[in-house]
Amino acid sequence: MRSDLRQNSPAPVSPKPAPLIRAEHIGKSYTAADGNLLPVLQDISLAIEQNASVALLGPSGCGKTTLLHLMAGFLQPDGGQLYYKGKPLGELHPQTGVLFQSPTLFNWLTVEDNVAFGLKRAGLAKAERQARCAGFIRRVGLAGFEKAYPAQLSGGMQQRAALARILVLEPEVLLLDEPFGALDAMTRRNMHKLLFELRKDIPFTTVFITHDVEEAVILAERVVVLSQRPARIIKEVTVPFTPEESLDVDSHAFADIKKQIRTLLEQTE
Amino acid sequence: MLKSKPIRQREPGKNPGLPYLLPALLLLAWFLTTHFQLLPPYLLPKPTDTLRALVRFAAPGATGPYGGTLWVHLWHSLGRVCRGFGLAAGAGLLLGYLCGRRQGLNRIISPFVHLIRSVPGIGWLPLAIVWFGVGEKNTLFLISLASFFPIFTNTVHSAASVSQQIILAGQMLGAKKTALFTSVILPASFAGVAVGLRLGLGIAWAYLVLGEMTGVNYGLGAVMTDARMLGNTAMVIVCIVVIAIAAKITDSLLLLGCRLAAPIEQEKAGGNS
Ligand SMILES: Nc1ncnc2c1ncn2[C@@H]1O[C@H](COP(=O)(O)OP(=O)(O)OP(=O)(O)O)[C@@H](O)[C@H]1O
Ligand SMILES: [Mg+2]
Repeated sequence: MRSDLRQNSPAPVSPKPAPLIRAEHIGKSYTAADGNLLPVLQDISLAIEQNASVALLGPSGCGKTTLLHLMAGFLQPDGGQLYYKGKPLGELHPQTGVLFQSPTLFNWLTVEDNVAFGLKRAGLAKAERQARCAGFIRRVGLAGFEKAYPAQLSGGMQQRAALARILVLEPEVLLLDEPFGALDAMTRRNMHKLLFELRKDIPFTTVFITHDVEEAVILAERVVVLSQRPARIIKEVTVPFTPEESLDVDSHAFADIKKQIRTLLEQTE
Repeated sequence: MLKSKPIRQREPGKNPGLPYLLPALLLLAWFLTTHFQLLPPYLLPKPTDTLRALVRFAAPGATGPYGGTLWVHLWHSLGRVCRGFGLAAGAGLLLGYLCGRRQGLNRIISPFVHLIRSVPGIGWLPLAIVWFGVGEKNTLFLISLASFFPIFTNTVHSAASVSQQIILAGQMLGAKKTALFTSVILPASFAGVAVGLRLGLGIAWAYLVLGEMTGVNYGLGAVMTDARMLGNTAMVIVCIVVIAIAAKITDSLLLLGCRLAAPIEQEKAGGNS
């Protein structure tokens, strides 16, 4: 069930549904501090189907965040075109939620008010806001912490709250920028499980960045391996596991895929 | 549950009496100096005489020099501080946020402001007297000019330091233009801005005295000048004490206001200790 927060018209009926996000020959450069042009992305073409889960894997500083921010509409590409549901991606579209690399909870608001922030902007009445927020706060396992401020939460709890803040808006796409990079192994695994459970209940498309091969194989159905900067797509690897299987990180099949991707990554160096 | 005795570490610097140590020592030194008549009374009157002058100053209807006039003077001084500080805060916040968020505007305005700021406040006094004459307007000018700078500088800095990711997060959650400013940029920068406001208010009191000494009918600065000319040193000290207390109270009120506006500051302060 999709909420009334979405305003876009239904996609035109076509025999094969267009990918939700499509990048065609995307290029992006920054102007570096010394005034020179710094090419970051080079000829990236990528299609992401509805409800897919795709990992972007690449060496540090290669341009992963840049690619994600292009998909979110925070940045414009220099060349090429991004499509969302077959239409050129314009300004920031409200169907996208981004979980940032570092925690971006509003530290002056309680967990509850953080989660309600987007609904408030969308003009929902207070009672309705509270009802929806309570559900999502419980879903991410933060029941009892509604009145806590972000500074009083652990890193994992902060990312949970940030996740609830996005999911309450029922986005079609969830973009995650190494959201669990700073968490310890146990907390990270719990977050992986949480994501699985959430996706079972409310289907959404996930694109996430990681430089942890294991995390990529666990969470993604498809791993896109990027080269050193300027980033090109080296290869796309399909992960043939069901979500339950991919949580079994000790299996042989899992190790094989990991090895295959790791070899690809090492070639980039 | 096992009930263990909480480990009470002796936390150095946490004794609530510490802030009163120096004032108490000073008072003692004052008492001893006058008791043994190390200084003549016209340089340093006795603490008891000073206290008596304060009581006379404050008690409504009291007779004798300055008897019962404290409140009318305080009222005028407070009014000037509020007006001057209000002007400075209005201009400082407005320009500060504009410059903090608009790089181009900042490049035009900030260098000029810093140039003006390098002139010490007192340096403006002669010009202020020429422009506004002695008294009311001149005082207002000095107060608002001097307290503008810390408010402006702190606001520019705090507004510019709001992280790009926080702003992106706000935009992603649907806050645009004015909503983005009021619901994200304003609260995110508030702590730093509040520091600037407090500094500005403190400076407002300092320049109040400077302005009032040039000649106003009512005001603590006027009483000070008058008392000094009459050799009533006790009254000068009384005025200093009254100004210190009044400044402290207005500062606490401002702090309270800031905390009501942004409750998280309180939480943080409590959580860190
Ligand atoms: N706004 C900017 N201006 C100039 N250069 C930038 C800007 N943003 C990023 N860069 C540069 O672009 C390159 C790619 O940045 P990006 O953040 O996309 O990399 P990343 O793959 O996400 O890195 P990491 O793994 O460290 O998160 C980096 O070399 C970075 O220095
Ligand atoms: Mg990054």
